[in-house]
Amino acid sequence: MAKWSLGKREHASWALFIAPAFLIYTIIFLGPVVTSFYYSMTNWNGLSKTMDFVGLRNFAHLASDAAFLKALRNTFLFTVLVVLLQNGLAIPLALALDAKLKTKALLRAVFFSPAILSPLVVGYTWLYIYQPQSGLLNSLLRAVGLGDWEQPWLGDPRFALYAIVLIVLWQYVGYSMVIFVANLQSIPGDYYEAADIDGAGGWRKFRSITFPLMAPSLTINIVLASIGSLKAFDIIYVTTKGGPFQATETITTLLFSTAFSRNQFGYGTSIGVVMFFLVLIVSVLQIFLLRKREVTA
Amino acid sequence: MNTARRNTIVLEAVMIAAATVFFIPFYFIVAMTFKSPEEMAGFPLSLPGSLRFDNYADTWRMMRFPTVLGNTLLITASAVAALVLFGSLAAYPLARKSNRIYNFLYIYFIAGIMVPFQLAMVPLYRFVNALHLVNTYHGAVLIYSAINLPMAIFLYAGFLKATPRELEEAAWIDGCSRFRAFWVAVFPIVKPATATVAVLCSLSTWNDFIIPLLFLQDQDRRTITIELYMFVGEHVTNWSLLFPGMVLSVIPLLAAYLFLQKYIIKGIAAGSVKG
Repeated sequence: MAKWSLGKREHASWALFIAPAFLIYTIIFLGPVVTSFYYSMTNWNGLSKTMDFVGLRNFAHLASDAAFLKALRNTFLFTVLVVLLQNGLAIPLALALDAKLKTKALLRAVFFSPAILSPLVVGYTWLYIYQPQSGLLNSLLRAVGLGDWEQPWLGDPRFALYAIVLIVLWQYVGYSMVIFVANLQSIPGDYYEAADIDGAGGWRKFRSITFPLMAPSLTINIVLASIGSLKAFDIIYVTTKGGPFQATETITTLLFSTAFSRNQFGYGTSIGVVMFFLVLIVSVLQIFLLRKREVTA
Repeated sequence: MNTARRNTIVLEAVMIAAATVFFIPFYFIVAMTFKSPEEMAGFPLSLPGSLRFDNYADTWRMMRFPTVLGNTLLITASAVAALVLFGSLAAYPLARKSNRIYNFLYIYFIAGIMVPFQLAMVPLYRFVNALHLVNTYHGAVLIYSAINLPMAIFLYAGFLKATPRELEEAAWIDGCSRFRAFWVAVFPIVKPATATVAVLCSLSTWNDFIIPLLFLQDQDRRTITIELYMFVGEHVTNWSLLFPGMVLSVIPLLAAYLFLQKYIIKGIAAGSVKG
């Protein structure tokens, strides 16, 4: 292998490779992120030229802000439900579609297809499915004689958050499935042959071979679903805007309305800072804990 | 018939049934687009009486579909081109060299994956506004490039670390400049990573809602997503116009998906499993 010289000229040429990406990323993304830590400590209203530095007052305020605590609770509930259900459904789906079915290519495409739609389109579709009168869900319930179960799904604080969880599952279960399938295909067939010789049954094979070897895709699916749910905004915004009675208010919808509807930019940004630490802690913890139990084929 | 084969057939039947239920929302939106207002009041799963395209014609006109489709295509294509170019260029030395500076820069870029974009929103709005880039194509393209760069660099660097250096070194020995060597010997090799980056970034840009909501409100600059959203606001919820709008917005994606299905699914699997 040729020796790489590390002269100044060489570094200069590599700097040119990195510079465009570095400038765009720093100025348009990371710069504003860092600035927002400062804004979160001001009372800026987004319009006036002046802003006062208020230190950590916004954060102290958040700790006793009922709307924020409710949003925080909803965000956690939403995230836990999505992570558990999405993976809980995607694993059996992936196992089934890894089997020797004739239609498996088509079936995979069907289950994956909602993932290419915009959350906005998915949101509006389900907004209509959940409509109280003419909606698909209530019409179906009436048609099968379960008319008593009819609900204004998104309009009832008891159901709204769960109704949105169902939308998210419909859209992304196929996405997780695809990642699991890719992992399943990398498990060597000899393991199963050896298990057959030892007389292991289907459940035993799943528990002792498949599941442990699915750890890498489980890690990534859990992390992706967690980050995605903590950041979820579009579907909630177009279906309920956080209502009814804040039943679906999450940190992102609260951030958006605080900053852009109520012009409390400083206070809104402090919600963003809390969100940043949440995402950071959750993803670092998960990667650390889940990686530790990964085994490789 | 042995048990294993019978089990497979049962499993297949169950999966087909599940997929049919899963597919209902698709059938439902398409069926709705052909229904007259009277039919829309009927049972949601019933077939439309006839294939009337009136709703589509009205929506096409009222949504100014050619304009918003053009905007979406232009912004998505430009953002993807910028990401592929700048992402692969930056990832190349970051994947090949390892000393403190390069390692730091790599982490510096990758850290962006964990930062929620919402955190940057408020200051970014102020900044972009001050530069008079609100309601401009290049403003939107810059934002999409910036927020997708961490993922692009991560995918390119991951891929490059697993590829040999011989070709580019041969190119240097032949007297190629660093950039020329990159272009002839590296860029063609990273094609699979380019496909993954292009797929993931096209999807996230095409479908994005929050950036056009803040930065592209001007009538002539709207993307499909934001036009649909504004459409609901401006015309109350006129479902007979909204449904065709949704179908129209999905058709280009669905067409691309049907052609590229294998690569899209592979790209997403590769992109995620590496993460």
